[in-house]
Amino acid sequence: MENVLAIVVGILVACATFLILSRDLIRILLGIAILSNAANLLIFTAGRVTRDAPPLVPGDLEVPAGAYANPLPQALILTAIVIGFGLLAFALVLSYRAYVAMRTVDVDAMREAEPPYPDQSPPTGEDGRQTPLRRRGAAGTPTREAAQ
Amino acid sequence: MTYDLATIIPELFLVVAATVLLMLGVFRGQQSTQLVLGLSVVAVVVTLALVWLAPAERAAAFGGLYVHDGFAGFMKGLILTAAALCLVMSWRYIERENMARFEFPVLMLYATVGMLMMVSANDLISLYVGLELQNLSLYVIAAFRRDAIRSTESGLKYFILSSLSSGLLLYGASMVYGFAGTTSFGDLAAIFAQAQAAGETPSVGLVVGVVFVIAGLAFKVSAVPFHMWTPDVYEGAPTAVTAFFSTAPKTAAIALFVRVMMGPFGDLTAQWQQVLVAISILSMVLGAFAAINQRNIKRMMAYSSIGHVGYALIGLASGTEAGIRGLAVYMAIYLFMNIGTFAVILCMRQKDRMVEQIDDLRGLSRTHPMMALAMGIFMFSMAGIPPLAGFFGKIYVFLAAVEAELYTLAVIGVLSSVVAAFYYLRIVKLMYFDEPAEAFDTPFGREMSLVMGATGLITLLFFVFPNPIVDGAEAAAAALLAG
Amino acid sequence: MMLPAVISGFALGAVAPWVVRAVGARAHWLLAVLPAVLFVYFAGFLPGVAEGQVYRFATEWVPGLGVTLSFYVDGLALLFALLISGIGTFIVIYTGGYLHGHEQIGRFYVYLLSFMASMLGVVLADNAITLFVFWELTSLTSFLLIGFNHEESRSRRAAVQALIVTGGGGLALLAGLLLMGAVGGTLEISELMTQPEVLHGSPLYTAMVILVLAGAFSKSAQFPLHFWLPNAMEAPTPVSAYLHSSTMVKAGVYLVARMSPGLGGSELWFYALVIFGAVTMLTGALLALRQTDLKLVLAYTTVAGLGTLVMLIGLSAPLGYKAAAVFLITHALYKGCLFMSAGAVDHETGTRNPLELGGLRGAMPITFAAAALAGLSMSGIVPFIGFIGKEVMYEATLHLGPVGGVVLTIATIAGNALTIVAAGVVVLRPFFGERRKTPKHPHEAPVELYLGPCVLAGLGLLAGIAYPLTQDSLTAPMMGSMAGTMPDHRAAELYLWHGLKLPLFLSLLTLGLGIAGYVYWDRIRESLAATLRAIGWGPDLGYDQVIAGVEWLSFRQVRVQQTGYLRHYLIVTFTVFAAFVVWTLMTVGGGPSAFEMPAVRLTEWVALGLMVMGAGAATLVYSRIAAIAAIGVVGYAVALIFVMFSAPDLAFTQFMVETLTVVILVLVLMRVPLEVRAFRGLGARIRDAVISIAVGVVFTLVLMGVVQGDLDLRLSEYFAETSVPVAHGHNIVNVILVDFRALDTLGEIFVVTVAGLSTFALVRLALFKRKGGAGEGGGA
Repeated sequence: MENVLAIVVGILVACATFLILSRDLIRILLGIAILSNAANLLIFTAGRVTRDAPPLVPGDLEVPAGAYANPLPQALILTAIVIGFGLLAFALVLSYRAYVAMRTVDVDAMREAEPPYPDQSPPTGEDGRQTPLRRRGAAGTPTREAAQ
Repeated sequence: MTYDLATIIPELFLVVAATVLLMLGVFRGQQSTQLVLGLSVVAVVVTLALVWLAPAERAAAFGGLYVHDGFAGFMKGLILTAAALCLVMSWRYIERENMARFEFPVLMLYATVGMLMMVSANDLISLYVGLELQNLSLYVIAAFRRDAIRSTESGLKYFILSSLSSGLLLYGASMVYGFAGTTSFGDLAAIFAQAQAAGETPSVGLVVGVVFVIAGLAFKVSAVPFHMWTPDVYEGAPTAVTAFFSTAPKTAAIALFVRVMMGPFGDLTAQWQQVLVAISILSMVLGAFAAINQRNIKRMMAYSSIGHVGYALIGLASGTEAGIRGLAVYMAIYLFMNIGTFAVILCMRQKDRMVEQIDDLRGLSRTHPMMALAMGIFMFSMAGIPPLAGFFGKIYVFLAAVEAELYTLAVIGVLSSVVAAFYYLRIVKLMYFDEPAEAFDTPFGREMSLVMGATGLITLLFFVFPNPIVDGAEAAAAALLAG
Repeated sequence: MMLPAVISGFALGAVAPWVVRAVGARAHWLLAVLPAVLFVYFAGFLPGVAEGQVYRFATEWVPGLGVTLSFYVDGLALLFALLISGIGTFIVIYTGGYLHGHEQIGRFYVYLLSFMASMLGVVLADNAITLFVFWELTSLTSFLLIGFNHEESRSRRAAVQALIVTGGGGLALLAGLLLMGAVGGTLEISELMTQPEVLHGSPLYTAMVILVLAGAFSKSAQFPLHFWLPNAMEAPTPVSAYLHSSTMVKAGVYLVARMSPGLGGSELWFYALVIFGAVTMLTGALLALRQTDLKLVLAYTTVAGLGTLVMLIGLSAPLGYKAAAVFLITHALYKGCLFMSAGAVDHETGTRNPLELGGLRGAMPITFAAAALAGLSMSGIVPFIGFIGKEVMYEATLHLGPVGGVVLTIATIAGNALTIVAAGVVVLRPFFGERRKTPKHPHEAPVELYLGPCVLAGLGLLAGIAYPLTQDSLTAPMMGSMAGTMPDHRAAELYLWHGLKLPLFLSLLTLGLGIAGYVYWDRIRESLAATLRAIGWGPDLGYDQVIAGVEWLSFRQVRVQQTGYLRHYLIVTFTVFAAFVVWTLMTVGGGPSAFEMPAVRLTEWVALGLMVMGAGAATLVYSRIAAIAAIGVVGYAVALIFVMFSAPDLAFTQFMVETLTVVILVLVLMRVPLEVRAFRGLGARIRDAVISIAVGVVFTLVLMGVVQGDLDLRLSEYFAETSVPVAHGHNIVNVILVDFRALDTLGEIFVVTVAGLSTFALVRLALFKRKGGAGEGGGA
């Protein structure tokens, strides 16, 4: 059964990746939502799955009777679900704010930080440097000393 | 349970303080911002004292999910120092930049709590929780400058890339769990040691899990090839926040990296050493080369920090006690140099506006000689020129690498500092040899002079009094490997 | 005692500006007391060192690294220390006259005295790290001294260039020293030098030699890294006389000499030193003749002299060591003197161009006398030390054997003859011939400017006449340091009169060639200049091209890897990541074994099918509302899976969270444009699809590999068994969350709190902004 779940996890991850690589901010968020579901399913699968045996100890017993599902991944996933939800809620607000500030949800338009290159000239020389274009012999020319 | 709580007194205090300050802010409104900020500094300093006073021996709490030892103590000391200095430095900054809102210091406190939790995490899932606690606060303060599009943009980019990396980390943790049946560092270490002793080859899922975790952590420390967010976020975030980003969270992530690699995966050195060597070399080389052409000083500092992480990771790649000691010394020195540099950057204001171009530092030696001196010390130190502190940081990690027979790594490290020296020295040249640009607005504020002076003196005089930092680092490394 | 002696220069330097302010124009006499006292102090070691004793001083310094502040005095170190402190004394005095009335003279003394202290540290240090620290300090102080006139753009360039070349070389040296330390097991150089067989036997030997020599050659201006030295002549003359002729540039020579007992003796060492040394000697001597500036002529002959020294040490034979020791003394004495007198001529006449100078011997008789003596020593005339130096040099090269010996001897003759021409240019041209009109009317220089030249020139004569003394106290101990053992008396012996042997005839030949060369200097100079113009390229230009190349590389690579597009960063992250995993799968092996179709119930098929369809729909449809619905389907299907596989708590939480998620998504999405406008191109979509599928396949493979192994369930069993007895809870998951993993739960609560707080802060920021002011945030 785990093998089948592994394939499904792979499909979810692939879909999430495709969405995250999108130009549209909202689609990126949808990708993150799928990714967090995939993560939960992954932990679940990694802990092995058992049918119809919840990890509960019957009221009158000290230890569970018979087989029971692995409880540890379930505890971990509960933590992960809640955190994932907190993150997603926050992400939505952050994206909304980005939209308000920039009036777009196209992430390609959000690149103020790295200015487009045509405006930025290639490096210029330091002062006193001979540029390779102005060729000159290896030997220096006499100079005046300004110390005096 | 009481024993558990006693172990987390510093964290508990900081959480309670942050929450109380939040209440204070909510009830008193925006005019309380300076008060909240001031009290935040006090809270961080008190927490620092509590960490200081905590017993040095290893103490575990919460069924081993959480551990406090000498290593955690040292790293927490660094994180809290950085947090306190950054809070102090933002005193005037948030006022001038229209960011004076009480949420700002409170979020910084919450982020700091997350970092403390990361440093002490002794379980993959607790680590993830601490990481997310830190991250959430950081996303907001990165986007805090309300009138700057870049700030929002940087917060958003940081969020998306960062949650991706946290996702990777969580996936990696799941894989490791799927192999080992536990996420506790102690149990994992025991299992791997046993497998190692039995001569078993580690399963692929496990190795991939480790690789996932490394990738997630490499993102957090902004090591190549997961560094791409760094320049954009450093530039876009408010400068006081950038100062914070480049120190406290980085230290926490490095500490976490060390604990994960040396603790549970300590017996898998053969599996991860090559990966770390590659990451370290790439970070050093790329950091050095990419910084050369930057004109914005915050972007330059971003690449510089990428390079410095590369150097610190040399210590981890060595995988020895000497290496961890070197890393701890390196991070301590890096913290002071970096905070000092950012103190200077925070003073770069002309006509009541922040300026960020490297060229704005022209002729600083004539307009503000003391500031130029401090900046000169930081730049020379970052370039690794003796006898300043930065040189000793490098020496410690290089020697550790050589001892671990990672000769290529050490030699590439040394040689890439030649390229790095080039851009640091260019700033010195600008400040000392060039015609002055417009002078910066004065006064800078006494707290800025204090931060610059203190960090400058530590950087300058480390070679006279190396013991406090080195002894601490030594004890930290010993504690980590003993535990 | 040694530590205070070394660092006293820093201390005096730190207070020098105040000394200048307090004492005024005569401060240099006071400041010169320190180097003079140091000279006397070092001279006190002479008798012991002459007997072959060594002295070691150590202080604990950097804890835990084996870095001690240790100093070591033997013949080599002592000779250098004497030169540094002795010449330093006169340089300080000279500065007082040369920079008389300069408003920044205090700052100059700071740098100069700090340099002196650093240089003493380099030659006396025993610990490799200590050596490196002082080594870089000399580069740094040299940088500050060259850039002293920073109004001049040429000075700025020269300062930065010198720092990059020598500082960068220093870092290579550090790498080499670290390797030596790793192999030898100690960082004390004196101990490393006693175990040559260990160093030679290491596979790292070649790397060590290359790195150490890169440091030494860059500092000592060996071809092709010699270009920074002539450019450094932008510095005031006292700096040129001190750093760039007699002391700092010799640090590389010092290092080679210091390392030769440990690293020397191999073919690599021999050929590297001899070839680079000889080429440097000839290049420097030739280029010197092309110059029309006294300081540049001297600078290029310094390059030649440094090449000669490296070559002689490289011979790795007692005769070579002897020649190197004698020539080191010779060169320091005459070069210091000639630089100072050239500076005095410049100071008095206003020009340093030998073509504009002439007949100054009447106007500046004392300076002339000093320069003439130094020039005679430089040309190797009896009975100056220079004569002895040239004799032993020929002896050493001839000794090498038939082929190499002849080639090297011819090269040496050529180098020496060219040096004689240069001596003529700097001594005969300005002082003989007819008087020319100069920018200033010449007078004899003040006493500060001729004191040093006179003493140094006099010592050059004295060292030659009193050659037994020179031999016993200076050259023999230095030979001992280079060879590793004290030489016997015969091997170390110096002669003024050797008898009518080949070296004497070679000396005469050299002199004749030199005189002829001087007569035709004008013609030689012009044809050299024409040749260089025709070549049109040199290492100095090469330096600029390298720097420009590095900048270009930096520019290009930033442009490629730092585009500012979030998508590119994500693509790189995913690709690197998938590559990482594939690499691991290929190296470690052990992917999933054969796939067996398990029994899947119909309901499970439905849930899985819903999940896949939901994800697919969310990916493929462009309607936002449909996409949100699809996301909801995925979430609910996950919840169904949880139900079916015994996780009721999870299913319940998942249902709730998923519902909330959809609600919030709808709330937010109602405020942004509904239709998707930003599409990827087809090519980008294909690329992204490939990456996505690769990532998905990688995940599936790895997860299958994991679940096909056995799971260690002991921890889960422990929780199940202790749930009721210890924690009194029947729901094991809840018990784990509350009791066993309370920290996570606590952290989780904080995370949700902070998420709420952050959301609140963001919303408030947005509100504040809307109230805050018009015109803000509108642009995008």
